[in-house]
Amino acid sequence: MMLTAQVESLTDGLAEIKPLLPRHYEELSLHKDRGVQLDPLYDRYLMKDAVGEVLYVTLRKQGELVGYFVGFIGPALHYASCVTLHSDIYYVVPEHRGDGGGAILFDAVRKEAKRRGARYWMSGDKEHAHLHADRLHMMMGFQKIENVFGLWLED
Amino acid sequence: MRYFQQLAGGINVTPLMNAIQRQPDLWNANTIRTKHPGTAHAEVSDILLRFNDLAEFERTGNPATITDDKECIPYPAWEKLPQVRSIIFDLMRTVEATRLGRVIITKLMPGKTITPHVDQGAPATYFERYQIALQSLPGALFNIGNETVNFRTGDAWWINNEVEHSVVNNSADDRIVMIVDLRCE
Repeated sequence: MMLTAQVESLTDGLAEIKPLLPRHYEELSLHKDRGVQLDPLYDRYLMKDAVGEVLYVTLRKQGELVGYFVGFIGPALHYASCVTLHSDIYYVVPEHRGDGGGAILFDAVRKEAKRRGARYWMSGDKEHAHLHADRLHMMMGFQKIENVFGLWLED
Repeated sequence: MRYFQQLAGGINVTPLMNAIQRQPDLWNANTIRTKHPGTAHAEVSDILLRFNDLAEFERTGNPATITDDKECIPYPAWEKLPQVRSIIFDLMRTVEATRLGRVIITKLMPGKTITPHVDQGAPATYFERYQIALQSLPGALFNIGNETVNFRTGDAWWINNEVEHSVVNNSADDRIVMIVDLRCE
């Protein structure tokens, strides 16, 4: 059975992706350890999509949504002449990992980002769950360029 | 996009799809496109509505009598699916077409592919190729060059069939499109 990735509209596909988000949150979120519930600002995403700033790529198996990538694409805040893609979230459901789905998904993202004129793609993974994502990024040719830190101010 | 252009969306294809559903024997009445050696369309089912007259080909066996032929004649399905006419003639008005070539309804089942190929002869060099998606769900992907599009049911698209193209149906149902070749001048 084949896996394919395709560019879609996040606005049109929002209802379909919503049921997968809790699984993603349960698996990867550190906020949940602090009792912070998943509560995306969907309206902000839709506003960005309406002005062409969202890149949404789905991974499907016989039509079923089994993975997704959401990123923001446009001129970089510091470098206006450099259209840049920033990964927001990406996920492949566990039962479809290990069969190249991540690579298929990221390859489609790269292809579309290039077609959209992006020169640079910034992405990341979670320090506590980075094994597969780290390998995927390295395989795609990413270089580690930055460290991102988090601090709970209530502590 | 360089190889695709969407011309319309939301075309009411339900009457045509229902007419097809009521006449399943129309599928594969003629397998000229899907059975010849090396065909990219081996996993496809076709309904030929307008196509080249095959008499000369059947007499000589020369494929150029088909591929280079600019004349298309109605096949029996043209009378049995009158629902196509309003869709086709609306499209012709939209693009100011002066001549109608092939009209083919083609079906690709889930999990099946149309392998990479470049169209040859009059359908590529004399006519412009258009496709109307009669049924196309997420996962039904049309690749031309470095571009990929998922048609939505009711879409009408121009496609560049002179560049290598292929189709993968990774959707939950059959991908059914109507191919319409038009001369625009």
